[in-house]
Amino acid sequence: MANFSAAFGYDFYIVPVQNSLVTDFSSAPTVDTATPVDAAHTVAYSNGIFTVNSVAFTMDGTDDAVRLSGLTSASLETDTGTEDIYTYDDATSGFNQSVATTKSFSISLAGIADFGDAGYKILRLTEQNTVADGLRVAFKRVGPTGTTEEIVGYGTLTGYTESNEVTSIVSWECTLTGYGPYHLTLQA
Amino acid sequence: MAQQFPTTAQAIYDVLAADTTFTGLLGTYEFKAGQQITAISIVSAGEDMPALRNVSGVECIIQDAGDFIKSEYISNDAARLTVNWSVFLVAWEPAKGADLQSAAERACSRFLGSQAVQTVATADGLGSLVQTKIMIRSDMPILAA
Repeated sequence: MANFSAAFGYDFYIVPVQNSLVTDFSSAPTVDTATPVDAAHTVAYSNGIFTVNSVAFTMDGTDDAVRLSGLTSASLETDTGTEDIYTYDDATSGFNQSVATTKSFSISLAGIADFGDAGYKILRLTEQNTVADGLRVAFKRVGPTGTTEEIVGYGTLTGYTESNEVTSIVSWECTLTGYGPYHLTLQA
Repeated sequence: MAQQFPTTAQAIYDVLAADTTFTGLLGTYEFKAGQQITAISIVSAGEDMPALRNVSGVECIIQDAGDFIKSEYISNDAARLTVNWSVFLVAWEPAKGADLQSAAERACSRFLGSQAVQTVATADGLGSLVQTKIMIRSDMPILAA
């Protein structure tokens, strides 16, 4: 029987950054998950700078990561843009040749709303001020349980959708649209 | 004010027992020693009330174990448990179905997302006319009276 893994035990971290303070979006960011932001810490935001637990973030990607809790989805989707080549000769027997030219990725996040959670607050404020203050996030996803596979990169939080039908648990969805490449480390 | 949830049978009891409109719609337990109290109790399924001589009017029985489902996360977080508590209202003589209806509506008004369904009437001769099962979700908040 083939091995399989249940979709459980992912850790997903984000670090809010100001676009103007990060010079290299092509290298993998160092997402500091050693001492992640405590879920109970206070979060304030002003003029593109987060203040977490009364400490102002540098917003250059070196701040402590915040773990998103209560996630029900964190799925990676990638796409490849192509250009078709038509040679009109016999070499390809009349078939076109599709040449990969661009890559893109996004991550679909979903979870329940814990209104007191620092991760939820940072996600909401970063998404809200994406344009006004030029914010992005460095991210890191590890898991599921039983594997060390991880992806890291930069992205922009684009599109936040909440679900609050009566007699339901308040939940949300948010899309992280890639900015530059994502870096994949597979299980050894 | 933070939302309060009926996560235990005791929490449901505390809400209903403190609701004078609801308790005013209930009948009485009469014990062998002669004392009478409002007919509301927490019991395990199949458990008898001790030393009970008679029940009259609408009785409220809160079961101390419920059905539940787990809602999982993909992140490393504990699953959310949703318990479906069962509260039975039984109409003993001289209560009528309308009394039961009023009590059920009042009880449901205190718990968001609750619902009630009439169950099979007790056999003739026992004095019970009709009963209703109220289902209360532990993940929906308690509402103000």
